[in-house]
Amino acid sequence: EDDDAPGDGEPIDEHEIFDLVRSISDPEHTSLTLEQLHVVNAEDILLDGNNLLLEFTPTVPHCGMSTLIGLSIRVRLLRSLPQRFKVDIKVKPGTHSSELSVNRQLNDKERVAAALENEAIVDVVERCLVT
Amino acid sequence: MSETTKSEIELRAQAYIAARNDGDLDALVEGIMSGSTTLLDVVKALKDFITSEDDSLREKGVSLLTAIVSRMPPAIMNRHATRTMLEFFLKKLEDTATVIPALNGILKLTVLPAFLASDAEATSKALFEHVKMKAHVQSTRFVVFAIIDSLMAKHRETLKEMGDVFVAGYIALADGEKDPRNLILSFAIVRVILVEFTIDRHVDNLFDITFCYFPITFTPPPDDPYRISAEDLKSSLRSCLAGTPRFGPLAIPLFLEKLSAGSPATKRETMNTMSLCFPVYGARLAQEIGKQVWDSYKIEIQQPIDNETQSLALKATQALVTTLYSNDDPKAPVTGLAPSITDECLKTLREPETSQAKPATLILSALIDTTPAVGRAVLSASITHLMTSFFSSDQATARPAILTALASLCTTVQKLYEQPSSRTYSSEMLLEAYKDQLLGAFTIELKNPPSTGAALSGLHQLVTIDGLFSDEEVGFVVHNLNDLLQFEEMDSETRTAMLNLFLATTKISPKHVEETTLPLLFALLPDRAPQDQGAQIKAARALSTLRTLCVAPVLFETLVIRLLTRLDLSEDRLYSLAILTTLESVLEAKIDAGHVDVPKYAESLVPKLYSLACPPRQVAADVQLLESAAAIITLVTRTLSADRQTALLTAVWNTFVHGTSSALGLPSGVGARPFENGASSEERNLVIMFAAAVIPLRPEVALPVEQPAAFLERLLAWCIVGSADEHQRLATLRLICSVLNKHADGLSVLLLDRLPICWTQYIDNADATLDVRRRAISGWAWITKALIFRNHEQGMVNVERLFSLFTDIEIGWEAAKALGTVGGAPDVLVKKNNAVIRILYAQRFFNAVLPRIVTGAKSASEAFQRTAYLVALTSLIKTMPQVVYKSEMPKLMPLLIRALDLPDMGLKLNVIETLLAAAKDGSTESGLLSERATALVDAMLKLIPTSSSIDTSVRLASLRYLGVLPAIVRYEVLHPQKALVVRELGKCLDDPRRVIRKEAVDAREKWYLYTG
Repeated sequence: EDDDAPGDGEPIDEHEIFDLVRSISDPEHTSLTLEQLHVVNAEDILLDGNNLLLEFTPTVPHCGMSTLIGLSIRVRLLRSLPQRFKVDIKVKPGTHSSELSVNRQLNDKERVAAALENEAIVDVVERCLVT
Repeated sequence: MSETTKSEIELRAQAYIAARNDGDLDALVEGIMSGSTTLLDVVKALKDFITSEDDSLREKGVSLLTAIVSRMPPAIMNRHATRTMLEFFLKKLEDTATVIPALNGILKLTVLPAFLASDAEATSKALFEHVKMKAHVQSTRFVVFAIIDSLMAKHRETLKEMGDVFVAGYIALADGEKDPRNLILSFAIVRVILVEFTIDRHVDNLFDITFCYFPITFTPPPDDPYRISAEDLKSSLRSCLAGTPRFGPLAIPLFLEKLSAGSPATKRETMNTMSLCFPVYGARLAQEIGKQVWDSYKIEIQQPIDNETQSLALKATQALVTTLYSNDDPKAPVTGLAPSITDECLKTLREPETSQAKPATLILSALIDTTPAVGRAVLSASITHLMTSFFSSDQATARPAILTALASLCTTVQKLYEQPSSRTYSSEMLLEAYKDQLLGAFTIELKNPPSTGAALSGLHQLVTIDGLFSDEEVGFVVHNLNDLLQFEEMDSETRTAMLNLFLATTKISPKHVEETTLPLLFALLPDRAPQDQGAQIKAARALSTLRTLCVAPVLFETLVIRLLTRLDLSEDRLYSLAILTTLESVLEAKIDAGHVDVPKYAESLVPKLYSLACPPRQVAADVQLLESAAAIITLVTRTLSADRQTALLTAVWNTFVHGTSSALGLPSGVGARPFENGASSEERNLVIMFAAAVIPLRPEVALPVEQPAAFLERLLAWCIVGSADEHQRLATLRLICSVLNKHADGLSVLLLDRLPICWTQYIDNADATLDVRRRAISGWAWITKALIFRNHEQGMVNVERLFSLFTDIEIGWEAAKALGTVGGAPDVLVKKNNAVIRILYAQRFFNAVLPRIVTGAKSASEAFQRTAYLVALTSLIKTMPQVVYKSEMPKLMPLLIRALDLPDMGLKLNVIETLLAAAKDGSTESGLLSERATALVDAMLKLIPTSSSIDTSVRLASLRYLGVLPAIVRYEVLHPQKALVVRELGKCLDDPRRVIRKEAVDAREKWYLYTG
């Protein structure tokens, strides 16, 4: 089974990306994963070549943790996917009261970088990623 | 008494009081025991101390008497002595200076045979009157409880006769106690009082001194020398609260209060205690408070904090209901709480898909497992209700959920009769009225995918209730399952459930599966290999189903016949292989289950396999098929008695060695003499089949040849200079190894005379070709292995010779790897094959070779020699017991890191797996690891790149080890390498192989989180 390398027989697909994010824990309920809370779903991951769109569903429409959840997902993907991917992380349309502002924060390089300079934020994010 | 004696006693006593020297005490005790003096003399001699004005002197005087009493054997402590001493000690209770030693003295006296009932009464009265518990430290209070405990054990009747005096006295004594050590004793005493004493006038007070501790929140201190666990305390308090029905009215309101306001732990403890209390408090009280209690439990079941709380609430509900109906006439209709709870649940179940349906089902199940009458009523109401919903037209989409509820009710009923108890299904016939309906509902929905899981589970429960289904009904279940079998789309969980149900029916009667299911499955297996892909998948699935189903003897017999027919006709190697592996794995399952029908296949299956393996059959040319067939023969041979093994061996021997093909019933004219000169490659392959029957033989079965040594030597020569290819050689060497291991003592000619010649001729001979030398070394290794496993003295001699080859640049490497064969995985030398394996052979072997290897790898003169030692180390390290190398780890670590540079992938893998194992059990000392961590990281990073020629297994192991390092090495040590590791691991994230990516992701995350 060993060295008949499959070449591109096993490209990175939506399922693999779902596997990367499903085990992240929720910043509020640390014993539950984003998968268990249905915050991330395999169907809401769209992969087109090197473009990835991941939509997540906050638990409640005014969930204050949405940005933090999105940031955790972003950091996990940043660490786990090859650099060639362009990743968009968005709130699933219609599931959050301030959808636009959350989306803007999550997909703005400078703002993400600034957030990751903040030790307190990094601390929370890392705790969500310990799984 | 003479003056001298008296003064001597005085002197001794004074000396003891002054210096507390045990010698003086011993002398006094001996004096009393020998009769030269008496206890009374000692008391008199101590008069000055006991009546002294000085508190400490009085205390010392009494202490001395306590010490003497403690050392007296009961025989010396006659009635007179006991009474005198008791009176003395009781008197000393009044004196605060002497109360502690007096209590200790009393405790010793209470266990004496001469301590009478009247003494018990006097003692307890004195305790109640003079001992002020609150003034004493824990250890003193403990003695008081211990005295009462001892009186309870020996003079309980007397204490009962004391009546109120004792009960009231004890209540006052125990009131306010806080120490867990004392409470354990006190709870035990209270429990006896509650159960056996007249407590009419003290119920409230007794309740106060027990309930005040509820719920217990004690956590024992770490390393508690008294080893009192919270659970000990809790369970003794529980047995107090459940000690008398008179606590009922007092306790229930307080329990309810705790339940509504308490923490989760309090709630759990409350329900746990209530479960125990209900039966004691009785049906009348349950009647009064039932509704109110249920309202409280309901919340814990419907909106549970966690599963444990929910299941305790269900248990408590069961206890409540069981108590409530415990006195009812089993024939009378059930009224009151149980029907009202049932109605409530059924109302919820009108919408079976809501989230509350599950708790409702759990409650119903809990009620079914109470009294038989309640169970029957609840079951009847529930099934009737659910069945009506099931068949009503507007509930079609709810059917899966309804079946799930029905299946859980069936599970409960099945469990009622599962345990060997007085309850049997045939005496209660609980489901008799509904079985047709249930069978109908489950089978109708079996083929509706959303319901399949629930239907299978329900049917499984029904089938396993002993006495529920008739043979015909089991047949009906199998018939419906057969339809399900045709379904292509089925997830693995459902498939497993289906197979398990099939299996459950075969345990009752294999007839139905045999007559109706097997033909369906065999129909999917064409005589010749299936051609198109669809048929291939169906055939593969059918084989896998047969593999699970055909374990029962009747079914296996059919399976063997049918599969052999197909094997006979098959010309497709994959099809043949699938058939052979199916037979092999069913046989393994049968042997594990201890089936006794396996040996009989030595007469049918085994000869058939032999004839299929002979040229010109297709199997004969295919090593993989042959090995699969050989594995089956080995399995069957293992189960044979020595006599039958001898018979089989003779037939095999005559066929393959002497060429009498009829011996095994082979077709005449078949060429089946693997060892003959000029045998074809197919014919030579038959050695695999030959070895299969020889390897598992019992030691008492002798080879049917006059000179076994000469025969083995011939086989060895066949391997070294004959025409055997690699597979044929390996089979032969396994055979030689196995025979030699069992018969070494009778083969000394071979070991002592012939092998040394073989050594000089083929191995230690620079003129021999490299191939010959290599093959001979491999033979040498297998022979040595056989000896090492049984601690044969020749074994280490042979090992020495292998070491001597390390200086030979041509074959040093081979010799080193040969050591791996010797001490490596057991291969054929396992107990199942009746191999002779001495305990601790491995320790002996490794302890002998490891130091040599370590020294050689470091200081051998030539580089290639050092490499040979390194190869030997890495070949052995995986099978080496950790105890052997643990202490050597500081020396081994640099060698292992060096060995990672060896070109051999298998050796690299051995090293990394050893490192991983050491990391897992934390056996590597952290200082050593820190010292080498940087080198380890560098070595691993070299083994992970995508575009390298490194084996995937090695890359995976290296990634895994990189992922482990952050957990076992301090951050400061590897901090300088963090950026490098993260970058290098990043390169693996785009690897074409998914497994590599996954391992790289995990490792990388660990390194990101690795901080100071």
